[in-house]
Amino acid sequence: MNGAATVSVVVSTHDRRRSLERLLAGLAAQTWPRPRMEVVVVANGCRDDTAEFLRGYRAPFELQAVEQPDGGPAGGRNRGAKEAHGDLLVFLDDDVEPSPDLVRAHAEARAPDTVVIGYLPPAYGRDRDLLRVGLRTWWERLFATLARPGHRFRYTDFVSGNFSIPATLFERVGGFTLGLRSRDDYELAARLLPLGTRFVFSRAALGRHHDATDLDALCRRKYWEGHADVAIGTRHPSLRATLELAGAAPPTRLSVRRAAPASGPPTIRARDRRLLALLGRLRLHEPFRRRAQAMFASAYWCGVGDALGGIERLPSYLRAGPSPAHDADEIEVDLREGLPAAERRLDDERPDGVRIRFGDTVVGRIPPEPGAERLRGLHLRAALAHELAPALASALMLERALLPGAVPVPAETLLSATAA
Amino acid sequence: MAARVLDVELTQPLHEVSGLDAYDEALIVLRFRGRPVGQTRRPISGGRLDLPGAHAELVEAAGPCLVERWVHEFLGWSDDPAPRAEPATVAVCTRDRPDDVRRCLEGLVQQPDRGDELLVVDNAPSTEATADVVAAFPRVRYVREPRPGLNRARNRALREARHDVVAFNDDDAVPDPGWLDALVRNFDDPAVACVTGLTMPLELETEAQELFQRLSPFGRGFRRVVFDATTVSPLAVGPIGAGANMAVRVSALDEVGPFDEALDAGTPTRSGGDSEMFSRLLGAGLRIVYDPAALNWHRHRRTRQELRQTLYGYGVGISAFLTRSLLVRGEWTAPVVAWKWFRHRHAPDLVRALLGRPGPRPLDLVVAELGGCLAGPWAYLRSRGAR
Repeated sequence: MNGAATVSVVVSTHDRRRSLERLLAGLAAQTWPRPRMEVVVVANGCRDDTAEFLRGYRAPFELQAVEQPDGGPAGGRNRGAKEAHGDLLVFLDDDVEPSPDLVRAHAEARAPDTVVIGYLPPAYGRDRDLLRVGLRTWWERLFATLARPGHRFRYTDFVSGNFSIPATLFERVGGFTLGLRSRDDYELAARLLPLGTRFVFSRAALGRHHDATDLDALCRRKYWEGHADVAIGTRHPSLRATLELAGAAPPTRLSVRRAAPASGPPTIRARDRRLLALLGRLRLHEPFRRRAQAMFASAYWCGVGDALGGIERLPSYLRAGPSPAHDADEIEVDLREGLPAAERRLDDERPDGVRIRFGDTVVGRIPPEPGAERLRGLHLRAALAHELAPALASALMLERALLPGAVPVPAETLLSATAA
Repeated sequence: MAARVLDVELTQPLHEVSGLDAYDEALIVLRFRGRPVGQTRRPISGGRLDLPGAHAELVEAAGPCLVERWVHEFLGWSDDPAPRAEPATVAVCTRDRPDDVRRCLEGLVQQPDRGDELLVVDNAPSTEATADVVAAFPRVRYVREPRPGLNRARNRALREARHDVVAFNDDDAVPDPGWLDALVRNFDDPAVACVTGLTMPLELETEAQELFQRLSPFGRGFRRVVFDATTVSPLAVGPIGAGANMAVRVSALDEVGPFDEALDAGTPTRSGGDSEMFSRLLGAGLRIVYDPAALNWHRHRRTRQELRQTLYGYGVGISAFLTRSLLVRGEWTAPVVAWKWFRHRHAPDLVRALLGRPGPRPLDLVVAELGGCLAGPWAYLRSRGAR
């Protein structure tokens, strides 16, 4: 199947000519055969020399360069997808440097109804700046989580700087939603998941992320994330309980400066900037982290408040979402019938939740989770191996199940060990 | 006073052990299908140990780790990464301990041969004894590093290594079968720069060895743990492991720099060279994995005098590492960590020992370690000056 696949690499770019050059150089070095690859670059409202550069660029591969007024990243990527001819769309942000095997890895991992997330660690090199180290750690943790077998994917796991999707699926789901200045990837995943889309992680699809984020950019981004969360919750009421704004309270004091309410992203106060710089220079990790988090939280809540038209509207906004358990499809499996049979049921029925028993004994439950993948057999096995392991052990002992290669131990002993 | 170290596989039938007349107690390492899952102590009476009768207690001691392993077997599940395909380099850095090296190499050549490179770095030796021992092992390559210093020897090993992963085993430690495999398979995650393992005692024949085991056990538990800068403060690296049983990724050290040659055995700072590297790797946003399946066995120092020296050396090393972190890397949390250490560890122990109250540490050992801590900063400066 892979042999026939054609790939379109879609890049939406905005005023980053040098980054774009680096990206294109990486694409010129791909191991994927050139006849089966095209690159679509959308110059999204560029005011620098990106457009001239593209016009003059002699690509060693099939290149389509499109110019359009600024449609935001969503508009740019949707346009790129529209102009693309390939079966598989590989989306790359313009600050990504692809490794030579990136396209091949996406093509080899592709499957119907499957989105492949590539590995995208930040390219900070030797930089020890506390903010960058924090970011790097955050990214690596995300990828480690995605790499775990049996991980139940959530819409908030979706990062879109390096991912691939079959062109037909992208069209079916309607592409990215316009008008979100952040988290449009979360919102796309929120629409893909109910279709039964599978998300897989490919370490081999490696790109290096030349992320130029600094404190101010992060602050602005957190503001727009607050805005976006309200928009996502408005479009998808069942997800409101899963948003960041549902899990925490607004801070009593703002750690950022606002010209006036609803005036756009806040800025960092000079004295906070100096304090953070000092904490960073002294490398006081914990105080730095707390201060920075306070700032970002404040920026986030400014965004939430602005989008709602006043933070006092938050309680009623949260109340308006329907109860998540409403339409959830939860089934029950009995492990006495064998684990493979239970897994097959999950793979066939793809329920939202599952109650697990062993004969008459309750083992546990994987509850329905709005915004999370519908369950598959592997999720059951992973849950039994981790959170539910002690309960499973108790149940097996209580049911006096015969287990191959079991430790020859009296049931009561293992029961007390499981209680430990 | 002596304790016998025993290795018990819980899935095999248990038998009574006899011939233990010289021992009062047994330290039992518990395994499930070869993987260590716990440890416990049992009294020995009349030179015998009734293992079958203690079955229930053994299982209970292995507790949650055993349950997890057992459930994983039932499910056909494994959390372990796949075995690493590429070969690795194993380096033993040594100085004037030919008998220990021989025992260590005997254990090493029994590891499954996947084309791994075995290296002995003979550090500033006073005789040819180590060279002679190595000559008897054709698979092992001999390298001499004439300038004294464990971190110099480690850096030499890194330069000599043909592979990107280098595993270090102390010369006075013996690797368990399967040690290398368990260690290096954790490098499948590209963000992992270092892996540490579990170390158990080879013997507990003397009081000094028992004291060392109780006070500074190398073991960090029987659960696999992944460390990064969000889960542990970059200077509080105690829980991570020790250089007696670790592996590093050479390309990661290209990023953060080699081991600091002013630190560790063979220099005035006596230890701390491993802690400092762990700290640097975490500070760069990289990850370190502690995997207890990578087990080796360490010969603790036999005499009280040597134990005092060792604890003094740990004191010097830890405060030298903190000094270096402050001076070279500008880590101003270092004085905070030093103070916390003193307040929560040394001070209570010191007070207890001075008042003659029972406590885990006898006075002479507390004083030794504390004395080392006080000597640390100057020892680091001297060591740097002498380089």
